[in-house]
Amino acid sequence: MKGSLIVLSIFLLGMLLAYVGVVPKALTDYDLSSVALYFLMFMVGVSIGADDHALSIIRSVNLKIVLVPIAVVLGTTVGSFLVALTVKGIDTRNVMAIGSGFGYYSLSSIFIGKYSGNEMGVVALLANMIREISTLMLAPIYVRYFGTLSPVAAAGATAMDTCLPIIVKYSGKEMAIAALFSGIALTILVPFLVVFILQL
Amino acid sequence: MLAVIILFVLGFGVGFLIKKRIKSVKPIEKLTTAAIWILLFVLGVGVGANSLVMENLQKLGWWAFVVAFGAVAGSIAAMAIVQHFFFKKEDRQNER
Repeated sequence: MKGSLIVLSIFLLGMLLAYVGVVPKALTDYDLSSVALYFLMFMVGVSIGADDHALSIIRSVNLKIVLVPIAVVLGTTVGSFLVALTVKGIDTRNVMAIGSGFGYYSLSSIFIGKYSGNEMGVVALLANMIREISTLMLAPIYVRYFGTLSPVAAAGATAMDTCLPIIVKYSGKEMAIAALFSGIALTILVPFLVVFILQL
Repeated sequence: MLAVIILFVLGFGVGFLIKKRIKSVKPIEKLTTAAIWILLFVLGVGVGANSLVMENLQKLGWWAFVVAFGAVAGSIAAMAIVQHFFFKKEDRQNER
């Protein structure tokens, strides 16, 4: 919990400083997040490569791993549909499409913004950002109450990059391969699924 | 996205090679935590600097929150079922 609070305050601090305009323009102009992400991925690779226990589990990978992204797709579809039924204001198609971003906010918001207008694009951006950020903050709580695979489910497409370090930290290194596999499969699925739903 | 995969594989190779020379992975994990903090700060800056998002934050934010909640809750529920029926037993066998 302490870790989540630190992460949340750091995020809010960045948001506030940028809104007030204190943050130097260089920080938003340069793609610093990509650099940090690349560094993260490298470090996660190092920590798994140097771990004998994790390596032995990677060797025993099996076909059941396919069930992980399938569960995310089915769960997200049902969850989004229930939200569309209960919340007035947004139509079902857009809610389902936004859900099918699986946290991949850059790509899904571009697609949805193009098909359904700027406002829906922003909702897609925010909803998928919330999916990613909330997973980063709530992962230890998810693990405790819903099992070690639950942060992989919550992370969606971001389980392969942004959320991977936090999944490895709280679910254990043995979940890294399931997270990577699920994240990669969902990332590839996002453009196809979003466009398919919007054209229904 | 491809660069991210390549860097992971590269890091994996480096970790595998230095495995025998380092005593613990603790310093590596501390560096990872530092990188998470930098990433989150930059994410916050991205949201704060986007004026279109900041101006309509209340209405759009509420919609986004509800959709995100439904998607995450549905995913976790489906995953809990999958883990219960397909993954739990094997985990215990591995521990023995």
